[in-house]
This record gives sequence, C-alpha cells and structure tokens, in this order.
Amino acid sequence: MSKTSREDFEALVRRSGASLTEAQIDVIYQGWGFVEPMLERIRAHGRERAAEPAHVFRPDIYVPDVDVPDVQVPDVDVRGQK
Amino acid sequence: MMDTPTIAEAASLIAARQLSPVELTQACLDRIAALNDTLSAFIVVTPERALEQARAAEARVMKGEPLGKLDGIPIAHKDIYQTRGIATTAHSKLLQGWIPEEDATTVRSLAAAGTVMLGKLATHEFAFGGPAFDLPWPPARNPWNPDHFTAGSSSGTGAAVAAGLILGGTGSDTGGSIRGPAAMCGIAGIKPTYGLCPRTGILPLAYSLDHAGPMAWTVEDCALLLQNMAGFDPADPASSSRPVPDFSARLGQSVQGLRIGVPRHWHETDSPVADAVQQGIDAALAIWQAQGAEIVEVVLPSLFEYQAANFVILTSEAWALHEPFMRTRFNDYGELLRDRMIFGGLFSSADYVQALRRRRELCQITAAATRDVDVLVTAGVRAEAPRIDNMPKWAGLADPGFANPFNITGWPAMCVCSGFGTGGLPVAIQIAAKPFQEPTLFQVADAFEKATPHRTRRPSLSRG
Repeated sequence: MSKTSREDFEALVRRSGASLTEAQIDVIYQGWGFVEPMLERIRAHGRERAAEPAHVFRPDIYVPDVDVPDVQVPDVDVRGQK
Repeated sequence: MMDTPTIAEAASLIAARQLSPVELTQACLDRIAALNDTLSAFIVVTPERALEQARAAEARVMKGEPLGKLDGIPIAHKDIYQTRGIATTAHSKLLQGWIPEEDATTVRSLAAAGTVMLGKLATHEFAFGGPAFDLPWPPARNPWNPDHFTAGSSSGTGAAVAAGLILGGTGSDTGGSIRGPAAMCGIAGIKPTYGLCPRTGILPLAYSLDHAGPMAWTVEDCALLLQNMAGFDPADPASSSRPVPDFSARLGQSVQGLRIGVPRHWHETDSPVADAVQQGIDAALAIWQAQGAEIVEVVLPSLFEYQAANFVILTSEAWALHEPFMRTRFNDYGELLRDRMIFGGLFSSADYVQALRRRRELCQITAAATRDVDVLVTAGVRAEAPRIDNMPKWAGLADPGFANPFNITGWPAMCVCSGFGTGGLPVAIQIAAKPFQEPTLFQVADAFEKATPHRTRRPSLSRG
C-alpha cells in the first residue's frame, strides 16, 4: 500500500515527461509500493551535514600533468587555530 | 558431439596440438545449430568469421607461435558489448539494425588474445528488463530445464556456457547481472572490482555501478578470461591504473590461514534461502575449515539497505541516459524495462544525492565490519531458478538479492555452483573479496570448486 495517493503519483509520472496511459500508470503505481520504502531508507538517516556522497569531484584527474609545488605546512590548522 | 572442455583443458590440448581450434569451433557451432532454437542464447551467430579466426589460431599454433592460453578458444559477447561490423542490439527494438564502427575495449583485448568470437548473446533489454516476451528476440532459457529462467541480465552468456555452446563469454553486472545467471545456470561468473575492466564500448546502464566481467564453466577459466579483460583504459573515467596481477597465481593453493566472514543474517533473516542453498554454504564452510581457514561471523547492514541505495542510484542514472527515448518512444521499450526504469524519472535530485550519501556510509560500514576477514561468503541466490513463464512482475523489488552489496561497494564477487535443488536446477554460493583482491577471491572459490563434484555434471540436453 503506497503512502502516495494515486493522484499525486500520476502527477509525478506526468512530470517525468513520459506519456503513459491511465492503465500503465495503474500498473506502475503497484510497483511504487515497493519503491517507496527504499526512498524512506535512504532518507531516514540523521546524517551529519558534512556527510558527502560516494561520488567525489577531483579536479586533478582532468589535468594529470600539473606540477604539485612543494607545500610548506603552516603552523595553524585549517580552522586557524594554533 | 564432442564433450565441451574447459578453457584450461582446451588450452593444454591446443598447445600440445591434440585439439584443433577449427574442430573445436566447429563443434561449438554444431551445438549452437542443435540447441539455440531451444535456448535462444544467441541473437546473432557469426560462423564464417569464427572459422576464419579459428583457422588463423590454428596456423599460429602449428607455427609454434600461439598468442597465449586463449588462442583458439571459442567465446561470445553479451549483446551490449559493441562489435565492429556486427549488429549490437542490447536485445532492444530501439537498437535493432545498429552496427557499431568500433569494438568495445574488452572485445578488442579478448580478440588480441586469440579468442574466436562465435556471435552475440541474449541479454535483458539494455541489461535491465527481462525476461521479456515482447522484444524482437525471445529471452534465453535455462539449459538445465528450458522451462525455467536463466536470471539476468547476462542471460545468454549463462545459458550458452552451461550448455557448452561456448567455453566462456562476457557479461556485465550493475545489480547482479553476471552473478545471477552464473548461479542459476550452474557456472562461474565474476564481477571484478569496479574499474578493473574497461567499460568503453559497452552500452551503459548505470555509470557508477556498471562492471564488466567474464563467465565460464570454472573459476580457473574465469581467471584466464579476466587476465585478458582487465587493464587501464584512459577512455573509461573509472578505469584503474593499478598493475594487473596474475589472477591464476593462487589457484590450487590451500586456504589455510585465511579468515572467511559469514554474514549469516543475510541468508537466514534478511532473505531466507532454500535448503539446497543453505547446504551449499555449510559445505563450503566445512571445506575451507578443513583446509585450515578460520570462519568468522560478521554483522553487516541489512540487504534491504544495499538494495535501496543500489535501486535509486541505478534507476536514476539509467533514466538520465534513456530519458529522451523514454519520453518519445516509451512503448518501443519492452514492458518490463520501461516499468522499472521509469521509477528513476520519479525521484528527485535530492533522492539521488541521498542514495549516494548512503552509499558512502554503506562502504564505510562494510569496510569497518570486515577489517579482520579476507573474504565474505554468502548465498548466490535464494533458490533454484523459477519457471520463466511465472515470474512475478515486481520480484526484484520485493526481495533483496545478495548481489547489490558488492555493486554498492565495488568489491569483487563471484558465484560458483554449490549443488542442485529439489527441481534438479543448480544453486550457488557467492564469495566476495576486498577491492583488487581478485587473486584471493579466485583462490578461495577454486578451493571450494575443486573439493566438490559439481563440475562433472552438465545439463542433459548438452550431451545430446
């Protein structure tokens, strides 16, 4: 049993841009009953704000030949505390 | 009809000039001619090209210049692997008649190793929608009983290897598509570490979950094929530049001293398995323990957690790829594919990012919980293959499989035959190792396989 009403589900389908018949939407609505708990699982965790996605952006992979200069390690941490 | 040798057996016989690559190829073509109407494993067969390649291999062998252990070995490719000059359909009306101008990187590397390509193999539509009966080609059927499912999506490869139509083949795995058919068709199949095998030229399903890998009758044969599929490809953004190890190096070695983790709650509580599957797991643990391995119970997140993240990421990425066609040619897709893929079009951008954040958490939890083990062993499937005409439409959504944890984490995992169910169809265990630890994975799987009698039994129709 889905928590999303049939009307709200149809709005989701229409927003996707796919042209489905009412009968096709009825069929997919049955499957949504299995998908909705999955969404609750991935949403349900009280994550830290800084918890990042598994995919990370790495600018260096686009310029692999760039030289890395010698870096002097400052006597402060990144938050500016001695 | 010639009994089908393993790749390793055929390689030894070819090297000793006791087996002709041309005769071996012809035997496979004869078997395809006899059985493909029943199994629908092949979409396209390329006999002239195959015999030409086999004659070239034979000439190299006779000159004493073989290219290696795969020279003259008959294989075939899942029909999402692009093949230059040969139709590549993804088993879909949308690509019917498309002939690529380039080979996939792995098609090229396997050809360079001297393999003989017999044709293109059935898949679930775009590696996602099946078994479907509303596509231009029928779904592949299980050689152990053609009324039964092969699992998918590398369904043609599973059926063709099990029936001895080929000695090995290629598959792809985004949520279990190598390991499922390997398990239900009673063969071996490995999803390697994410990034180990180039995906260039393989039609994508979900970029961050897609893996290419081999399927064959034995663990050893998978190692031989993987040796010629793995390697850095700058055209694949996820390709690993790590040196490729010798995947056969530890075959035949005892597992003494290894620690084998068992997340029992996966197959006892999260997704309870049939007796035959449980017996296979128990037998494997007993074999490894007798060889000196230590068995360790491991507690991991529930299978439902991995399934949820895998499904949202997979369908979101697949929708991004297929959206223009799903909007304009919805009914040209098969019903099963379109009715699964559309969910990706219903999620929000936040849903996708939350699934990726959950993926990082699951990777971290899995790594921490397995710090003290070398490999994990799980069920390969819940039970033997069901009838192909009796598949519940939402079966894959209702029950979490055992494959998703290793698509999410990118760990290498393989299924090997662990026995047969009450219906006479095979069942399997799954073994997984940490990233880039394929030699250890093959060692453990090979130790189990060689201690069991399951590789001596072939489907009865393949002996006809």
